[in-house]
Amino acid sequence: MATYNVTGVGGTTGHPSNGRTPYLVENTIDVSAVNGDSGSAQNDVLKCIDVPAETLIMAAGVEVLTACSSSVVIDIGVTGSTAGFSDPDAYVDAYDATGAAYAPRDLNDAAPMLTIKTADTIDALMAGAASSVGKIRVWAVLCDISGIDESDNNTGTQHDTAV
Amino acid sequence: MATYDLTKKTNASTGTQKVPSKEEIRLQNLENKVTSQSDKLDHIVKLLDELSAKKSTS
Repeated sequence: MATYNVTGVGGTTGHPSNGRTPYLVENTIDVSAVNGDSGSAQNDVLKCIDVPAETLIMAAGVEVLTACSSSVVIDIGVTGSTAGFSDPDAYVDAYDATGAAYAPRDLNDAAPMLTIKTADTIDALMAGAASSVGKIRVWAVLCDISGIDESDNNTGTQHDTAV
Repeated sequence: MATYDLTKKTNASTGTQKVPSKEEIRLQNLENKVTSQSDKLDHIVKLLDELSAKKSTS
């Protein structure tokens, strides 16, 4: 067993002043205006947030601005995916949307950080019942994790010399 | 059960939008102010040019 220093040139220089930062995105949705003003049916999926390729979803959630119809619960996550924690209720699981408040994070799935390799969406699964009323704000904190230098610039010495 | 794509602006959604920081909002307001001042200056220059042209012909 050995340790190799392949951190590259520059050494320890502290934090960059112009590094990438996470950013907040949101989408406010009038549930009553979905499907030609009919509202959502039970188990409809609302694609809410565009997530670009090579993104870290650091957090996501939903704020119910106007209460939905009786018995409506909302999942927030990535539908059509079951890889790891990436699933339809990754961030919010069966939140009672009949009152105006922020949904707590999903404790079962631990509201994970998800890495998205190809472009995807964060979705709201409108479960429990149909909803002819309601307004929700779906939000997410994203960070671009695409590489800027994906070639190996370490020297042979760095690869071959244990430290 | 159906799937609706509301990621873009529709009559039911604002669409996905980045929420700017307070600093970005201040910068945008500053840019708007500079643009406004620039437009006013352009208008003043135009008026002065017209005045100058009138004086030179009289």
